[in-house]
Amino acid sequence: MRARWVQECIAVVGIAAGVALLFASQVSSSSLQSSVAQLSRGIVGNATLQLLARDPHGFPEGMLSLVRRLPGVHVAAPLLEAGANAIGPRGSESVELIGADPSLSELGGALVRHTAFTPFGEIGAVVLPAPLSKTIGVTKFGEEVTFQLAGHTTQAPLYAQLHEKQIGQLIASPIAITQLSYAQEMTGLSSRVSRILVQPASGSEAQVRAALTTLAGGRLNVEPTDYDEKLFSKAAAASNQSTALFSVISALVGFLFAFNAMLLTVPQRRRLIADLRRDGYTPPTVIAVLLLDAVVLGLVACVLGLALGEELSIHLFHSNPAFLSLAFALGSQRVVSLQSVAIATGGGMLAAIVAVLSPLRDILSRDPLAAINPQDGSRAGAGDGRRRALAGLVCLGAATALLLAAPDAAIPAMVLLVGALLLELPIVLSATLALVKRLASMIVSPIPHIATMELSAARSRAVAIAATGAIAIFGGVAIQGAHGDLLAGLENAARDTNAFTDVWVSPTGSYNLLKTAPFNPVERARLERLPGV
Amino acid sequence: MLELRELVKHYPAVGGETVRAVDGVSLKVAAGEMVALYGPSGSGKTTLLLMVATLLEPTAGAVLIGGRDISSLSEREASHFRLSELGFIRQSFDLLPGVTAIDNTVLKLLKAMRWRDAQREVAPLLERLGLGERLQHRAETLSMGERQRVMIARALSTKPSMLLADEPTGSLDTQRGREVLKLLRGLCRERGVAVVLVSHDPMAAYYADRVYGLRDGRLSDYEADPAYTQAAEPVDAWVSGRAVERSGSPSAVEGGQS
Repeated sequence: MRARWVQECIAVVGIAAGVALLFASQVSSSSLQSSVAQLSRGIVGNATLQLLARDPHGFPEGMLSLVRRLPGVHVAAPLLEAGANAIGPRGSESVELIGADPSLSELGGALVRHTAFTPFGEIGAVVLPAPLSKTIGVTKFGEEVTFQLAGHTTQAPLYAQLHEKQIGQLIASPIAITQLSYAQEMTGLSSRVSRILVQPASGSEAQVRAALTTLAGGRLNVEPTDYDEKLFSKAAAASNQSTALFSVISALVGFLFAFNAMLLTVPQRRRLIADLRRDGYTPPTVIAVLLLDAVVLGLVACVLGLALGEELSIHLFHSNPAFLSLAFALGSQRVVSLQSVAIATGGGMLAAIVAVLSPLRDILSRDPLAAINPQDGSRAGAGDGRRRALAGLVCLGAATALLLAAPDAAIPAMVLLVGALLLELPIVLSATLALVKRLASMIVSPIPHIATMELSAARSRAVAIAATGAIAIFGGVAIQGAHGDLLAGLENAARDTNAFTDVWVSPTGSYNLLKTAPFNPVERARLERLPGV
Repeated sequence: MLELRELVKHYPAVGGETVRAVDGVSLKVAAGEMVALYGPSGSGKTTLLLMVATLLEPTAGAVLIGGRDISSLSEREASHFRLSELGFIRQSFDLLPGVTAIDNTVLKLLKAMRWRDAQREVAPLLERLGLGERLQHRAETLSMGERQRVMIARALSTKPSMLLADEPTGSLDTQRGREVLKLLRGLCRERGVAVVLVSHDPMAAYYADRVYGLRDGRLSDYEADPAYTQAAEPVDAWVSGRAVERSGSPSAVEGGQS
């Protein structure tokens, strides 16, 4: 490898870029999902079922006693949740206001495991995660936080900050916790709750679920407590898919860039292979030598890529999609899962191995000098070309069929399309070269002749360079298309929404601009009384 | 040591014809003997060497080394033979660039010993070849003559019983070519290695014990070119120098840095 360090370095940079993009997008997606999952699990604890309101006004708190009386119910805990802006002297943050009573502690969720509700309930105050307190500048007991919620503004004193040792990873969640009764007062939803979490006794889940369904009477939803996670997963699918599309395309371009650099080293590698075979080394030994090359290159590239990806995920990929922030409490935590590292590293190592082992067929050939023997290769090339072209057409057909049958399967279809593109590219290149050669024969100039001869001679490299460009363009068009579709969708939605009304009145604070939030009845009545409404 | 029995290699050619690259060659080479095969390009020299090196399967005939037919060895056995019993010097000196002379030399030894041990093993040989001061120099900083000597050292590093040299002076000027041939001849005599050297360079003939012509795949008598008879002189001087050295005088190996 020392012999070709410039080319190897270029290859490492290409692979590292691919690994970084894959890793950053993986972290971005998994962080969003984990943020919602952690908060959800932190609240619900051991509860497996929930009675859920169908609108932001919630349902009467009286349902709680009915639920608690159901046979098989071990714990039932009421919650009132509302989106709000928490404002302090240093700034504001979008938060999820969570009103709960002491029974929530019985569910053992991470959020309340080390936090007691009773002491501050009587005085009407909120607790905030320490980072949030710091951001808005309300950190001392009794300092007031201004909440914009449900169409009005209200002040609540800070009772305490929650620290990481109390709530673990939920420390990054944008939440404000208060006593149920105080949350009801703040939101103007007196004696109402948004959901009741239920932990059935052991072996009673089906019975409790049935009873809850009967009790809900079609007016409320009975759902498992991971409902929010599943909902988020669906809501975030579009965002995750576009991030994945961008990352896969970028990673492919990066890996092809690496492949191009590695192709520069192929002649030397072929000579080395022939030397080793001539000197008596067996094909497994030669493969092991090249694999070690690949592992060293791959490891260096992956380490660089993961470091770069870490930075990308912090500074570039870490903004939460606005449309998801409106509907879900998204925390700022970054979750680096083993899966993210494995996918990015696996991609990088695979790229390195494929690039280094490109002369594999020659190594395994019965002719020890096949790596430097071009005659056999050119004969095999014609048959290979036909097979590649056929495989490309099969990929194209499969992609079309897949998209017709399952329009959601955009990523697998895109992979098939890229495969078709790569397989058909050599034929397109050959046809183009033939055309250029034909045109060149009509003019007196050495340039087109020499250029076509050079491209024909370094065919693999020409194909790889063309493939890099083609995938970059394909990716650009695909991403631009997705972007255009998204904008068109948003525009249509805005047009449809605006068609119903002339003027929109929304609660104060930019956070709630689009979110459907229940107005305080007093404010709503005032609006209705306005002349001309 | 080496015996070729009616060795034949035919290639199918365009139009259904057959190219007779090697056509019934029989030859015997004793240990410590250097045999040169002289012939123009396309005469079958390299094909013959590749068959002896088990890198090409003969169409017919046999290659015997120490009485054992190596033309029918399995791939694994053939690899082992090339690694441990054969040295191969070729025309193009594809040393690994960026790698030192000594590391380029130890490649064959690494199968059986550790890197440091292998370096210790080949260092004296490289010194004998006049590369003692260049051990840690990278391949691309060596002259063509030095690179060829590194190739010779690599070929001899495993102490093979048989050495094949394919146009070993093809890329060298006359002076350096002569030096390389002297070294090759001297070392092989000293170590009892049988050498088959193929070349289209008439000078090579004057360093061999026996010379044959090779034309259209067949061995023929070699007719010496009078223009090169003078070249024999330094060889004889060198050989007599080696004889002196064997009796205790300082080394007379020629071919220092070129």
